[in-house]
Amino acid sequence: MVEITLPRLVGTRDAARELVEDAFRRAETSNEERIRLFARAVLSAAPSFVDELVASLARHGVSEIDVFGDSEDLLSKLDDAANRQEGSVRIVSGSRLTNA
Amino acid sequence: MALIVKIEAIRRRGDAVTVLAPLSSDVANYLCRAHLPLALDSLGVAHDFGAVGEHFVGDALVELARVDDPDSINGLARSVYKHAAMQDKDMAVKLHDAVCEAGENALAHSRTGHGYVMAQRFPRVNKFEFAIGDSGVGLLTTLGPRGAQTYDEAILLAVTPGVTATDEPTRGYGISTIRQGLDSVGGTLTIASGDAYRTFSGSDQGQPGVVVGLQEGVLLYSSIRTR
Repeated sequence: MVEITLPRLVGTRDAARELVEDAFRRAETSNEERIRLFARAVLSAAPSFVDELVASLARHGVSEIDVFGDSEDLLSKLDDAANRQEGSVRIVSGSRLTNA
Repeated sequence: MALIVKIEAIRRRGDAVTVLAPLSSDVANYLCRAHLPLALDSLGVAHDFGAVGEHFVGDALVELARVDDPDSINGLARSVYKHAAMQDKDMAVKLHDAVCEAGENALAHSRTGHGYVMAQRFPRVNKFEFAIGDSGVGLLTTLGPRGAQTYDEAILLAVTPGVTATDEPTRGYGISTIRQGLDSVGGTLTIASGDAYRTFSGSDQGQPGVVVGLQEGVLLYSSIRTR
């Protein structure tokens, strides 16, 4: 499975594309329906970074992103970015399930 | 910031520029510590700033720096985060995002391929300020095709969610999001381009103003009261 660990401070669209491409390269695949996103370390994620992250994942066929260790702020940005993909990407958060 | 982008635009037109240092030695020393003379040197601009010995300026100043690529934006955003986090972590997060968004906009839309960033912490008056500028084509050129007929209309479009100079439907949320983010930590966002500026505080349309002379490219400035 493709897994992406976000660093503490994530900012630009370019950085998002690099993270996604590196992860798919490491997993030796170009398409995946579901990926894991580890976000425990994240202090700040710029909206365009999150937007590009989700868009890049969608281009690799990802339809579900399982997020671990996310903050409310990051989750909200991920949801917004997923909504802009017109329903093709779903954000699944462990913390949201725990808090429900 | 406004000075360096103005000078850069003049230099690009091929005109010679000479900058005289301010008479006040305090102001001149401050500009030296902010690395303005270095930026002038890089543009081939003659100036009479004296040599100011480099010394540790502590955690109060992110000197005037040029951003040419996403890596330099990330580096400066991290630096701004580090400086601001000493005062307020929530503010630092919003500032980090703002530098990333505004820096990427400068690279993507200015048509100069670069911009400038500067930030400063004022611990004695509990304030943090940052500015990002470019000497590019300005908001009316980039957002004219989206219906802006004046610089002021272009500024309002720039903060409208989903409006982008590109044809990509997922873009155009960066500036509106950083405006909300800065507002959530008690900060204002001023956007200046051409003959207009607006200062946004809260969710209204902001306070409009007229730029004396012309603001080259786009200048974003934020001031945040810290705890």
